[in-house]
Amino acid sequence: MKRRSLTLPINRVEGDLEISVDISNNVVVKAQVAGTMFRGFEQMMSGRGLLDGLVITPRICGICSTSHLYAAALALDQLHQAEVPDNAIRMRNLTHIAEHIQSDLRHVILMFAVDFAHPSYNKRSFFAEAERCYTPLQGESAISTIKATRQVLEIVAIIGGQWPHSSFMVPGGIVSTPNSADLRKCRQLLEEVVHWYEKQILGGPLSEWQKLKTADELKSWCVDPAHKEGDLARIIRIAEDLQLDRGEATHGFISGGALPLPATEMSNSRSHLFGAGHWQAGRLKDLDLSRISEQLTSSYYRSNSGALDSLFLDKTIPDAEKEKAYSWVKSPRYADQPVETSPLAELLCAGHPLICSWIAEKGVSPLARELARLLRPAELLPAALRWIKETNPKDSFYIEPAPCEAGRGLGIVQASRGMLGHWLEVRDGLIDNYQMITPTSWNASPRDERGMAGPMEQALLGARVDNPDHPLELGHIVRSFDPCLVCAVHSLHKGNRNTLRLGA
Amino acid sequence: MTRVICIGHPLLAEDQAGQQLYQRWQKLQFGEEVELIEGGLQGLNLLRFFEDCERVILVDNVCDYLAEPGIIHLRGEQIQAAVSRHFDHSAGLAYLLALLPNLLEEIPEIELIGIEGEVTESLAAEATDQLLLLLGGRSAA
Repeated sequence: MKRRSLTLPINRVEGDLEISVDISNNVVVKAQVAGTMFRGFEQMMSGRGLLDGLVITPRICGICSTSHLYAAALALDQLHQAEVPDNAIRMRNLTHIAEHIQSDLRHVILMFAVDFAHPSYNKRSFFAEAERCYTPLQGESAISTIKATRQVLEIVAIIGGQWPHSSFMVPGGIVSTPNSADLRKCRQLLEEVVHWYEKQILGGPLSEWQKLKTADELKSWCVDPAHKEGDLARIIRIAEDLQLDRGEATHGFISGGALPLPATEMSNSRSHLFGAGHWQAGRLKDLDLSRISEQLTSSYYRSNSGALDSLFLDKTIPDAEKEKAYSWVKSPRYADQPVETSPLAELLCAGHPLICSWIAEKGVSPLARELARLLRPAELLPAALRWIKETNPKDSFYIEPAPCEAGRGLGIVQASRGMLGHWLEVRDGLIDNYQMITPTSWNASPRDERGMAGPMEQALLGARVDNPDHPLELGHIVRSFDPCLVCAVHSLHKGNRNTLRLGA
Repeated sequence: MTRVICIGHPLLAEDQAGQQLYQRWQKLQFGEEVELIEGGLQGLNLLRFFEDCERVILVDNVCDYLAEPGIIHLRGEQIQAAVSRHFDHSAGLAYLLALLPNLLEEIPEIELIGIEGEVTESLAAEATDQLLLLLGGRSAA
């Protein structure tokens, strides 16, 4: 038996990610995923004013800064027990959706599908098509996606004054008061994206697409000559050819619930556009946020309070010399189990019929994750347009909350890559402690105290690698998680970064 | 229209020159034909600022161009030659510059004021002189 160890610094991720695998008989038998940077945003927060999280945390990431702003604002809403007017909820959601739309579509086309055009695939039947559409810097779909998604974030700038790193959400609402012209401009921008999305991605009208409920109906859609030139059908075709639809060992999934509904839409059974949940082996349960913990066994951090409510109390204390540690990412666990949080998790936990049907039939796979990214805009775009229509500029966008000098707040959102949480502890009117758990912390987490691998590590185990010198298969798997290490890790390493490039 | 786009990260010492110069240059009057923009760490999302203008002047830290702290001025082809064609998740400025020929029918003239080292008073003055020279004396301090 031939066993070989590889270390793969992965490019086209945000931040530094290093994958180490042992391959035996062309199968991955051991996988280790490591974040290689420490950032320390959580330390920056202690002792600061209450509102500083609204300014500092969006700067953690230039891609999902609105997600951090939203989580920070929700934590403050809870701390102040603030009442948030419906107008503000709609505008917060609208800007968050704008960020998701760009992120979802650029991820799939520019970051994932680009590997289909790798020269290693030049003997495959799909190569000419993949090269035409996804070649870096010039593929037709790549160029089209960049052009179509370049203006959607103007929505955040219109509502929030700037993007990225806007701070327009505050406890009790938003600080801007969009007028009719602002809303009209936002609607125009979204409608342009809808038209492009129908033509370029779905290959057909959204109204027809929304009728699909099962994996079989999706397959029929993709072979319909009217739709097969859409990127959705093309990516499914190529991914199936590469067997990226093969089921992985299944871990659980969690979603914190995406996009709170305005009071006019809320009901006893529905508080978010996509409901929160914990999905495990086909069973969906309610999400219990008190069951979230962080383990540090394999992370370069010192152990902490040990309190049951440790997320409010624990400090992030780096320890670069810690034995047995191999990652700057912590190990968040739900009920002591590793779980994936991602757009796939979001749609699964929300009971999205098409995604649930796909998973029931084919299992969890890199293609399933990409499908969720491609399909999520079909749900988000109509919701955003509806919320624009329902917003009355004459109504309030802000209700001043009561002052608060001490207490706790928790803000949970679904960021573009999955569940993001901000835990806030306040004393004497200042931030005493701030903890964040980002989507990539969940997905790229290292082994925990029981030795259980994180979701990305689990997904790599058992993967087949035809050519260990060019392990493209592993790149597909890792990229399907869309890892964003600038959020997940808590000094830059110079040296071996990106020494092995997959696809670019 | 000339757009001056200042690039950089305010919290990272080796990459904050563009931001620091942006703060200084905000106090200057450049006239209606010059637009000063804080580009932050954006890449692909700066595309709109390369549209509908004749010229873009990027202002950013550079590394290993000069042996000592100082200012360099690069033009289009020199910039393109220095641009990596590899790209990361956030599709940075280098990615945008490499893509421009495929995205725009008319590409503006692109120049770079590169700052080697941290911004000192003298380096800031030198960068300002360089900018004013490129703008042809359009500014009144």
